[in-house]
Amino acid sequence: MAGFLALTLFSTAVFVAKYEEYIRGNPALERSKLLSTHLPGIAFKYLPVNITLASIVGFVGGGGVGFLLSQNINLLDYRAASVQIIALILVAGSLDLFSKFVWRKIRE
Amino acid sequence: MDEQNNKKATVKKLGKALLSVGILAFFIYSYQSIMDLQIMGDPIRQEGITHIFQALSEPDILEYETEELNVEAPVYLPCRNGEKPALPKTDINRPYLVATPSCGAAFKEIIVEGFNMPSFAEGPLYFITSSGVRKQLGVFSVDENGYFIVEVELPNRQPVEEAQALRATVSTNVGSPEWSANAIATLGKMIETIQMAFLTTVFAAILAALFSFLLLKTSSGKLRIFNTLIQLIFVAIRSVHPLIVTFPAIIFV
Repeated sequence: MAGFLALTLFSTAVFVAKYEEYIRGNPALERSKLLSTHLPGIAFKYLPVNITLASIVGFVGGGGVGFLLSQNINLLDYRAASVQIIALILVAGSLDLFSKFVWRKIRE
Repeated sequence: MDEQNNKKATVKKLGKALLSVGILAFFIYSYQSIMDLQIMGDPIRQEGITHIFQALSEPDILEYETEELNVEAPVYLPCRNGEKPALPKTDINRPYLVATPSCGAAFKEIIVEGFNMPSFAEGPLYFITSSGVRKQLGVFSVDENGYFIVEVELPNRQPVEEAQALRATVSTNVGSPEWSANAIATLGKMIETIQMAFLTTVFAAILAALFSFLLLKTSSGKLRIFNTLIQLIFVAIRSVHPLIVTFPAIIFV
């Protein structure tokens, strides 16, 4: 819950900047189209980044996979920590590729 | 007029040159204070890093049930006077150990050979006292023919009349692999992380859409000051990593 609050605050601030830049850069776009596809698309593009950030808030007690990762690193159990790192690479990596694909479809 | 323009251009050029020199100087200064290549060359550190990477390359994902194979051979500590120790008959089709010599005083170096062991297995070689206490003497690794040879030192123990034992232990994997407890825990926590990231993204997308339209509307006219204020607040939020915000948030919720 704490991690959720902190992350929501941060990503809202990031999205505001990205949205504003995008809307200023594409003034011809209709507002309904912006709201229904383009802006959610931008947000989706940042989902992998949010997963990376969400994994790290577990280090300070924000919950999630970061809790296990910090525990295993502190116990010097690198064989166990390796599993969490692989899981992160798989999830964030595949979402990264997928969101790029979705964004390309939206821009067309 | 032309002269003035020329002057302006010269000042601009000078400014650019100064800026480039400044950036270069800052780069060199930063490089010198941050990059310490000597530390990375330290052999102890390199050993540690090798150890970490080795562990990282063997992730703890799968688990096997293990079965222990114990192979024993008698050993006398010390040798009994005059008589040769009687060795039990060994079945040469089963795994067995041979110690040469099979008796000796404390700290005596003996050679232990193993036959018919599982190929390529590795494991510890123990000394078992008559009261059942075990002490590791060394480790062995079996070759493809099921043979190993190690040289170990007999432990310093009180002399005992009866035979004590050398024991080679091999644990082998049995049955099909299963997900380790760590892998299962990781899956659960990973789902939690994905849920958190997804919820965050949805909430932030909605809030950001509201705020960005508000900012666009107020970007000109009387509400300019309001716009600047909100922009500054968002710049401030963006400057702080969410990790730092999590600390007060933990106390808050």
